[in-house]
Amino acid sequence: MAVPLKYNLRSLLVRRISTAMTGGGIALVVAVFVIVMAMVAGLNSTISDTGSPDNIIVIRRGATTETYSAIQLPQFDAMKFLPQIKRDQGGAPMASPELPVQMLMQKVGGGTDNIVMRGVLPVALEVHDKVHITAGRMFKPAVNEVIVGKGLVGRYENCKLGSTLHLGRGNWKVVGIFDAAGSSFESEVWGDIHNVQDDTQRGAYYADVRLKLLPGADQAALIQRIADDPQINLQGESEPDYYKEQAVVANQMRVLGMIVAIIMAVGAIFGAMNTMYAAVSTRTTEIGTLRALGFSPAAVMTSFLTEALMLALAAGIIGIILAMPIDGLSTTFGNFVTFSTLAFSFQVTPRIMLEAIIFAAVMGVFGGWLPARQAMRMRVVDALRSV
Amino acid sequence: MKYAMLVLKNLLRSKRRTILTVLSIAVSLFIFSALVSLPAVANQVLSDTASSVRVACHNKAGVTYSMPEAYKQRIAMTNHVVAVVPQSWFGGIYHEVSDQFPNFAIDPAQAETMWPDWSVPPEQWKTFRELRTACLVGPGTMKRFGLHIGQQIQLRGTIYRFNVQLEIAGVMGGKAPPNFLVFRRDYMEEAEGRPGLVDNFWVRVDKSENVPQVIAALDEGFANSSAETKSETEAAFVSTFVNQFRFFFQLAEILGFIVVITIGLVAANTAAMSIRERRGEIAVMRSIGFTSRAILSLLLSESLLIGLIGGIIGCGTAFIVLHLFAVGSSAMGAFGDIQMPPYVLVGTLFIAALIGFLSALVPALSAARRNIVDALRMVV
Repeated sequence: MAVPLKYNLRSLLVRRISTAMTGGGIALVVAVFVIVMAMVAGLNSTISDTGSPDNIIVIRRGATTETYSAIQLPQFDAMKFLPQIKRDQGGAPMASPELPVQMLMQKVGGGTDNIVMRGVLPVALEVHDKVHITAGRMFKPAVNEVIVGKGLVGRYENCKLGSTLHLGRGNWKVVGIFDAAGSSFESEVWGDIHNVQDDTQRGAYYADVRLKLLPGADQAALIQRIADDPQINLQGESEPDYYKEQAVVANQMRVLGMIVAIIMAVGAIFGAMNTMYAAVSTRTTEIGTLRALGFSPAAVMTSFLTEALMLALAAGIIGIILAMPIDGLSTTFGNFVTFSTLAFSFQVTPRIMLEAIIFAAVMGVFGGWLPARQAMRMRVVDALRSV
Repeated sequence: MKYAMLVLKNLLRSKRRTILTVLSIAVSLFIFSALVSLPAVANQVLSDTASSVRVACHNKAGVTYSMPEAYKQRIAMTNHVVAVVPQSWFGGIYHEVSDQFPNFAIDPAQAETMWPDWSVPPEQWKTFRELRTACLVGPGTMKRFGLHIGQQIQLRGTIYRFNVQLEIAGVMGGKAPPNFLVFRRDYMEEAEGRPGLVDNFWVRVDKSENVPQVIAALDEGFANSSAETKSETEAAFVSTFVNQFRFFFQLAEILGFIVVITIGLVAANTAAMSIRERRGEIAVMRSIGFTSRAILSLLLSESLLIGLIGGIIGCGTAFIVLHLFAVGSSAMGAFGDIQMPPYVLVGTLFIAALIGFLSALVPALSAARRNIVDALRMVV
């Protein structure tokens, strides 16, 4: 027969302060875990979700990111009419040449950040199907108009409809605000690619090309063709794969965060062990009595383990609640890979909450195991004698 | 001091508890000191550059905009300018994409005058000036890839279409960023086909009070040209890059703070438990003549000792781990190895002592003040 749960609950409540302190320690560890994982999840979704599965990004061979790539116009012309590429209603291929350039932008409240200004053609809105203009309209070619990602609005000077943005060497009129489903495009300014080429004075070339594939088209064959055709000779990759590689920052943060959380957990487990050992030794008489009443050693051990687990689970829930205010909090992060600043939001996903609860339970089991075993091994006679 | 034996005996009485508490403090302070070292490194970089007489002159439009090489002569003619070194970012990779470390091309002629604080020996500077493929490497990068002086290495171009074959002519020490690599710009220019463009100019000013004057002179001189310039002190220039990681550092500081609160809770709990169990014994000691002050200092020094031992173990391990491994060098890109600055070491030990002291304060006070008669009654 099992020892009633009520016994554990009451035992926890009797040692109120001690329970609160041990629980508090575990709760804070869980909170740290949730904060770090929420940040990693936010960063990851901002970077990785930027791609569409039916898009291919084409960059120069050997380049690691679009920032470090260059494509000549004849290469683009040789590529854009390949049969796997989708056409729009007018029959024009959905091939979007792009030129992202880092420019210094004035922050609201002082200071500057490197922000990507992406030179594109109007076809970009069809290729990047996650990008939608939420206010205003698309820029017109050749007249120094831009649209601004909503991640920049309010964070940088003059990022609102109708104002004039000073970027690079030129002045640009903001005619639209766009949404990109939380992806890294939201931290960019988009303008006419020829205007951007002029502003940077780096000649008529593109950095990369995005291609939208026909449904069911052979992606591997297209990538092969782009690599082998002597007139093209470029490196193609599906957008999700490309952005997964770009998310190295997030992966490094995940490793770092896991190390911090695990080491902290070890500290908290030692603390929990202390408390549980003390609980076992102050309740020697009780244990003797329980055993004398006929509860088996296994039942006593289960009871103490359950007590540790109850404490840890309650603490885990408190930890999650403590970390909750960070959900949705948006901030910026220096992305060393693209040399620019990225806005992202913390995301406390249900998965993270579940992991946090499991994490707390593991701490409880580890902290309670040895003391519970000690309680089980106590001899009834010795335990009762201490009365 | 005469109670030292007593404190020691008390510590060893419940060995398991003492060990668990010490370990839990050690583990937490290990992570705390490592976390706090992160921003400390960045702050170190900033404070190192605070008194520098170097000025960075770059294109007003942003880092990816270049400037004509010919600006060099005009800058050199400005009053109070001692040396000018053009610099271009190469952004090459050694083997793997994840191997990234900052690499630049600079003009060798005045580099020695510009960066005496890199403590490169004169003969290595000489090789750098004479050998076209020479490069100077920071100690962090040397260690990370197991390089040695005289070794040939190839950097693969990412922005540029060519690779460079370099020979390591010397190691930068002193206040040079530990993971930088610099090679000669004439080599890069030639490989690139001599476009005559540079990313920025480093300008050395004769005296620090003349820095603002030089900055103003440069920016006014190039106003309304095709490449308008923005000149900044080295500190301001570096902080633009460091501030991109500001968020990361703030997070590390917040996490460090939470760690301290967590161990504070654990330590306070243990101290309270161990003192509570000794109530009777304390009453006996007081009734045979120990003053409550003696009892208080006995209990506090015991807890202080636990905190300090934990602190020494934790902080010491962190110091050694950070020292032995190039922890975080890949994650931190520009900052290279994270070393623990001495003040973090001292600060962590102070926090350890404080945790030990404060955690026992409340239970020890109440134990020392307790009415002897009441306490004794519980014993009997």
